[in-house]
Amino acid sequence: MNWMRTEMERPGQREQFQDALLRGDRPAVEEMIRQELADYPYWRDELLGELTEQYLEGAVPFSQLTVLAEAAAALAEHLPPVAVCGSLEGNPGDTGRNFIQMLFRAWGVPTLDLGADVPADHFLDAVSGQGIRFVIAAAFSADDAGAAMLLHQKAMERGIRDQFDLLICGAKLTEETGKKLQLACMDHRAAAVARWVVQTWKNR
Amino acid sequence: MEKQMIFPANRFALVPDRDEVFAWLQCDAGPCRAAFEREWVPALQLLEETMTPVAVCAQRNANALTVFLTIGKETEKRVSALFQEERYILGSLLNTLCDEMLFQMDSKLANILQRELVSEHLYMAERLEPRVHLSPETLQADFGSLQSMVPFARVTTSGVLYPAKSMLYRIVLTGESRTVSALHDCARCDQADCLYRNRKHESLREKEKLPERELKESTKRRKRLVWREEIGIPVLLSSNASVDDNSEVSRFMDYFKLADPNDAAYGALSDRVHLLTC
Repeated sequence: MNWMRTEMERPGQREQFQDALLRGDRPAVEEMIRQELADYPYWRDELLGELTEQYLEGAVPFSQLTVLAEAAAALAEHLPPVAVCGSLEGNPGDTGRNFIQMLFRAWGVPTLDLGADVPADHFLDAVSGQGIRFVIAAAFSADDAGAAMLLHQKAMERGIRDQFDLLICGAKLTEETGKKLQLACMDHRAAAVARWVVQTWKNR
Repeated sequence: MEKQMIFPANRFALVPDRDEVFAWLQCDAGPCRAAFEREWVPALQLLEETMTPVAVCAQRNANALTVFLTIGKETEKRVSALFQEERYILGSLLNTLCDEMLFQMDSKLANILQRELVSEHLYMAERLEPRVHLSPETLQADFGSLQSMVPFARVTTSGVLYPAKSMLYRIVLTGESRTVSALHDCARCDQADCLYRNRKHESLREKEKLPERELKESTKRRKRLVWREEIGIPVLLSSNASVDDNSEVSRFMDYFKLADPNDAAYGALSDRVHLLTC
């Protein structure tokens, strides 16, 4: 989408836009962005950032982020992926990964979803072949530490470990394990992991 | 000889409770309630189309019953598909509905099992949960006796259940008449950050009109009674089991959570663990 400014901003337009996001009114958001004003992604980032902080402080529920994400996804562009997300090998679950994908889409972070029960090599093939900068591994419990360690070790063997940041979402591994894995971020909350990636990527 | 039981879908009259689900999602007030209300009927329709609840049990001896229940695999596949389609509100609502249905199934199955056991003069003494009482290896071994009845399900080497919307636990049986709850107890679950933990307690308190202080105190009393009667050794009455500072208490809590039957370091507790898990 070409974000060239085509008309002057009308008073209250930002409020209308952010209100539509908060209501999860995707048709209204899509109608507004047809006007192709340059400010929409920034207004989205402003509101999403504020709501994420409030959620992480426990002031708003995750359901509000969900509603906003559905409307905000209307602004997502089709860019080459910078992040890859998948559930670690041995973990067939989808829930945590679904929420990570949702938040990245809301923020406009192009992400490749590898699915569930992903072998370490598949993560690393994405890094080598597509220039991925962030690897987000969804874990279920501390028992996933083995699969995470395998991913790290194989990356070292391939000589590509320094090409990406590794993040764990969904389960708390020990601090010692986190240090061994050279984790950039580890949090059971998808919003905290998404915030880290967004802040790092958008400040590039 | 092992006795097996199957409880198909028609044994469970599951009724979605919108107020409960919205309370769990914390969207019962505020600007997002309208968005979730719009998706309630579509979510119910999808749930009806995809949910295939089933429960199976295996009783290997007079002491223990292994139970597995699930709402099936199709609903969670549909949830993932909705997220792929960027229908996050509907996907999130359907996901939470699945969980509510699973907890309802757990409750109904507990009643069914109690009736079945009483007819054989057996009673429930205790419910043993994954990771808190049962290691991944024990879970896999227990599930082996049920696999033939639910061929689409499995337990991974790290104890993860598939389909995810499932429960697997063991009931310890006794010949002595008892009144013990066979329901999943959030207070004894290791998923401390579970979305529903506090919300279920709040809704329970609301339904039973118990003051918060009274509900917490009754939970503490139950814990003290279990520890004194079942273990028979002096123990701390409350401890933060998530603290890992390599202290004696911390190591004791780790042992209590992992319940390794081959570790005899804790006297009467180890004997009890060995009895229950081997």
